[in-house]
Amino acid sequence: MSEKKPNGWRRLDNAAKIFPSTSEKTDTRVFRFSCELTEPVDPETLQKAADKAIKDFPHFLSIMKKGWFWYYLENCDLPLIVHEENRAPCSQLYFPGRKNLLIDISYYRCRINLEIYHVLSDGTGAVQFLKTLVCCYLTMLHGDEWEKRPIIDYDASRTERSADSFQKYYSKVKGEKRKRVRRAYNIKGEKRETEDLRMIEGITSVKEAIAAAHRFDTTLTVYLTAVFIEAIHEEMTLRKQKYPLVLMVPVNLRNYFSSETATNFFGMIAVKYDFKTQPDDFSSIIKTVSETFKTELTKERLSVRMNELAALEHNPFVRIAPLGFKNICLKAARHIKDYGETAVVSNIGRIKMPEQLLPYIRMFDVFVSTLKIQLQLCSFEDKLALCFSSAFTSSDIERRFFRKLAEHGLNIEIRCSDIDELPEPPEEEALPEESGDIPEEKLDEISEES
Amino acid sequence: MLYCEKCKVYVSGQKTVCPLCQNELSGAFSPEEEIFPKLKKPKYSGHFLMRLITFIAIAAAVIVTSVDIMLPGNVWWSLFADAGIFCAWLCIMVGIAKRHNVIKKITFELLIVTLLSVLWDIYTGWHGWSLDYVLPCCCVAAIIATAVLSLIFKPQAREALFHLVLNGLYGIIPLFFLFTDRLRIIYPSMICAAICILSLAAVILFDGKRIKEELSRRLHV
Repeated sequence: MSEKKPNGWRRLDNAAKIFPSTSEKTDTRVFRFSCELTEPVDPETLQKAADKAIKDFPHFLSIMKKGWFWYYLENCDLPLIVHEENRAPCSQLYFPGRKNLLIDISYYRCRINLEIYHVLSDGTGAVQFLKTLVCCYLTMLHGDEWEKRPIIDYDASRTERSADSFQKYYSKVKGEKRKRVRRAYNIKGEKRETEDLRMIEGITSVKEAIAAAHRFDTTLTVYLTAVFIEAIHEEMTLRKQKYPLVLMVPVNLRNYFSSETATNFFGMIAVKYDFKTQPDDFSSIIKTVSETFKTELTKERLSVRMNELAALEHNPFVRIAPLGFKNICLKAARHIKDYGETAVVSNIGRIKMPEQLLPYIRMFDVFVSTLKIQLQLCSFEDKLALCFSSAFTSSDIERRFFRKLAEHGLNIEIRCSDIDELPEPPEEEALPEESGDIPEEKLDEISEES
Repeated sequence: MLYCEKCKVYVSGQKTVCPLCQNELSGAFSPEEEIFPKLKKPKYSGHFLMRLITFIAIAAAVIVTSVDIMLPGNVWWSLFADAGIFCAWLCIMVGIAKRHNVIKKITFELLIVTLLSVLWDIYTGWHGWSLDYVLPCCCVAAIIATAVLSLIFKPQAREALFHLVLNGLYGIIPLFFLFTDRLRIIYPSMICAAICILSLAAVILFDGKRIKEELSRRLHV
């Protein structure tokens, strides 16, 4: 076990290198994992649990600084303070020049929210930390009731946790010219204001969803991706259908290359569907998606893509370019790349927790900041969370997506991060009581009942 | 739980309309289902002060220039006023932009103030005051300020050390002007260079390891 050096520093990993240059106020590159418990969160215990959990992930206690050529992370001793949720989901965490943590833990009623700047970690790393945090928290509260202490299935030394696996698996590839970015269909629509993403999530049953997927002879991920494609397609104008619809899917590379790192280690694959040349019925979409997954999700294909990305970082001219110049170039490159992407589907997969904790946890969900629209999937026990984060004011794609699922026989519960801006029905004003806040007495009554 | 007849979905939390289709909902909500707190929007989306100062600077420049055009006379005195406003604006902007890191701010301001004063000197008929007095005096002031701040803000000692080296190197520049006979008065430059060399020597000898470490992280490629 290596102790944290008080003033140690480390390089950003390959995937993280592009995030700082391309973070904007609207796309903060922050993602949020939440765990919903069955009882309200106790702030003091959560603080203690956070202090304990962070000891296993010391590299999360870092600040990011600007070097002359690259950004870098520096260990710091700032305290990780747990607080009540007071900002919009996925708000900015990195402020240039300021000394603050890139991780934030908040709570609201029964929910524990973990927000992380993407430079520090990817979804898998964040889930590991949240699992550790929740496990510490519940053990502190209910540990006496169990015979055995719950153990999280994460076995990695501290050096493994902060290791850069991109470096480990990088090998120079020659030949294969990079293809020009082909324009994909870009969703048009009024964008929301800064720091104001709208999150809509649908909770459904894993069993029901799998049953629906089986009715189309396919897997859950393929099925949901296909429904998402169809939902976007129905919002496309006929003229725009000449562009292919491209969904980007992040892939956890730990499943293909042995690694236990809690920093970034993911790749992206593209699922293309061209409505100009391909039929627009649901089964054809499913077939294409499923074939794409099969061909792209192999170790060879993923390693080619991974090396392409890493080659940029190993290019000597890129390396010696001053940071300011790099930032401009990476930002431009990102906007060009964005043209080739329609939306993102990110599948976190099943989150497993030790058996003792199951009665206290209702579900997990996840939101990611985006400039477009992004669908995140994650499941816990029988709860499947389908979480949309969207930069658009309109929720038409979400509506079509969930209505389609409902048509397929799924029971869905919808939750939404804000309603303030949605048009209120006119008769609402005639009501004597304002629809804003719940009167305090009423709240007390309810909490006493529960 | 609320229910949307059109979407055939349940809706939790306090909603007046369906988040998906904006149609009316049936059923009743229970407040404990709320998963997001209701937040107030921040009033200003940052940098308000910067915008305000920029506006004041533009207003001042416009007023000065228009008064100059309206008044009789052949000298374009407003150009100097405009340049002065611009310099003041630049110094203030850098000051605000780097407000979270005072030590870095000193280095930036040192660079800007000395460069601007050389420019002023050149365009007002080269009297040499910028190199004779401003450059060495500012360097000494910056070094002293950085050293004092490093003692006050202990956690930032490492940052201060790095900037001490930068300022020290910058403060040796007057020596170059001294040996190339560009100075009319040599005392300030000589004193400045001496102080800088001493501080560089002290920092490198007594804290060389930390300097090396700091350089390796800041300059890694």
